[in-house]
Amino acid sequence: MKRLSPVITNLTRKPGRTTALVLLTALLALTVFGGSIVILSLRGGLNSLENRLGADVIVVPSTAKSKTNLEQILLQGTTGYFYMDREKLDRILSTDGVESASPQLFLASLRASCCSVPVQVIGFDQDTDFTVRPWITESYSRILNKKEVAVGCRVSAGIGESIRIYGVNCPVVARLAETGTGLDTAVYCSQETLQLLLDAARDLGHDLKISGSSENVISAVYIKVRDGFDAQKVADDINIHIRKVEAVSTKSMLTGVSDSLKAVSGTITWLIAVLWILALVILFIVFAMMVNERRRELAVYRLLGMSRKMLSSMIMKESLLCSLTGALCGTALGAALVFPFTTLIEQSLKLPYLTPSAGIIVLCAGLALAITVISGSAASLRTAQKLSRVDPGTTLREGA
Amino acid sequence: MKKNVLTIILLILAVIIAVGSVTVLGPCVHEDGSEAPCTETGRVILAVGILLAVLSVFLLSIKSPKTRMILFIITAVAALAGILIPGTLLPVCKMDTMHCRMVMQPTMIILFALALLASVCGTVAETRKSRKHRK
Repeated sequence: MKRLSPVITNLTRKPGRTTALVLLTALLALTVFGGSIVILSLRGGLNSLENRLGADVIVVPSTAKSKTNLEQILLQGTTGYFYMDREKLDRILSTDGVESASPQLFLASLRASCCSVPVQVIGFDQDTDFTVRPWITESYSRILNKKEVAVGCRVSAGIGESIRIYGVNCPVVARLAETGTGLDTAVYCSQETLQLLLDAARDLGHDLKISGSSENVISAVYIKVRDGFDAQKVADDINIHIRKVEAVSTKSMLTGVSDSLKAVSGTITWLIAVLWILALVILFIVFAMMVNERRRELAVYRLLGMSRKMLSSMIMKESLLCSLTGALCGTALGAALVFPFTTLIEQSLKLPYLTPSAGIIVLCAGLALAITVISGSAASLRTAQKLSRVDPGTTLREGA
Repeated sequence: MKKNVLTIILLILAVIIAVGSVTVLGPCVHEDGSEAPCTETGRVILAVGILLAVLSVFLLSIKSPKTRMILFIITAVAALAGILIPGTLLPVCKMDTMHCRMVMQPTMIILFALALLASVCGTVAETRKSRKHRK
């Protein structure tokens, strides 16, 4: 600390210059840390969506722009419901290339008791399901009984509490792991429970546009394609042979998400690059200006007996201290701007967004710190060399 | 001007908190006009914001280091209460995607944390000044 005291005195004596250097390096660290966390979170969200979808083809009714509705339900947590006859499931199962198919039923609640907004309720067939069940098993290994529900991590109802949906009290038995997708805001139950909720909604006068019994309708069918068959061909086959349905290959859905993700990542990367170039150019200019500004001051140091090496080391220590302070402030600011606003970023980008693990966040912070400190120090290297070569006699005579 | 930098920062933060709590940083608004669980929380945040603004104006007009120190301590306590109001002392909506959870809670916590930092720095500075004054 004693060795640093002249450096600290130099920095505090010129608060304007020091603040400018700290702010510039903070900007560098902020862009690197914040940008890399957002990009990694988007990639994590896409991977999570791939894992969670689990099906090769999803079939929905062709009415009411169903595909868009399904993507909105899966990605953004928008509530929605659409129904088709259950007999479509048998026709899908008899299609060539379909290994297994599992139906799901959707219902959008009015304001549920847990939340002041409607929540998406998804009923799945516990005997045939291969998409939701593996996810629920991570936190709840038993079968969901009648009225029991599992909630996504963004629905704030604890295990043991009940959610009241259309007047029916549904006990929460599990909270699911985060996926970073719209699935986190949904409530999951058995098809039996969902049929009960559909009847309750109809009894309350809610028009679900279902004719006949609620047991005869389904909202979507998740299909696993047999090995050796192309998912897109199976989807096309279903679209041609079964009327009033739309089969969507999840690969095409994910390609759409992946393209949007690439566009957003590209924009962020460009933004980081432009900001970096700008900040580095400004840093070089600031340090170049320092050469003239501090020439006389350093000449006096030389006259007082400081060697060139000592002068150079003092300037390097000054820039290192500024860069480190700026990098720490920038990383802290990046964390304060990115982590508390995760949901807002996800909702604004309308893309799956899953924050990376603590280890990766620490690694990103370390890298941002290292890159910023190295860049800041590198920018001052030439200035340090130039200033250390100052001839004290000539400089002081010039200034006189 | 230089002496009042912290007070001016505090005043700006208080104005952002107070104005924000009734505009873009406010609680959720239901389409049917009914109150959300976070409505009351928004009102209390507005009250704390106004209190901070009034205290900052007092701080701008008072010169005695001892009185300023006491006022800074009061603003620090108010800012600490402000940090705890959304979600801890008073409820916010239970869904993560609600406006109060996405915007109001994190922004208010950050703004009140900055106000707390400014108040603590002010308290330390005024304590030093009052000690010098005594000597």
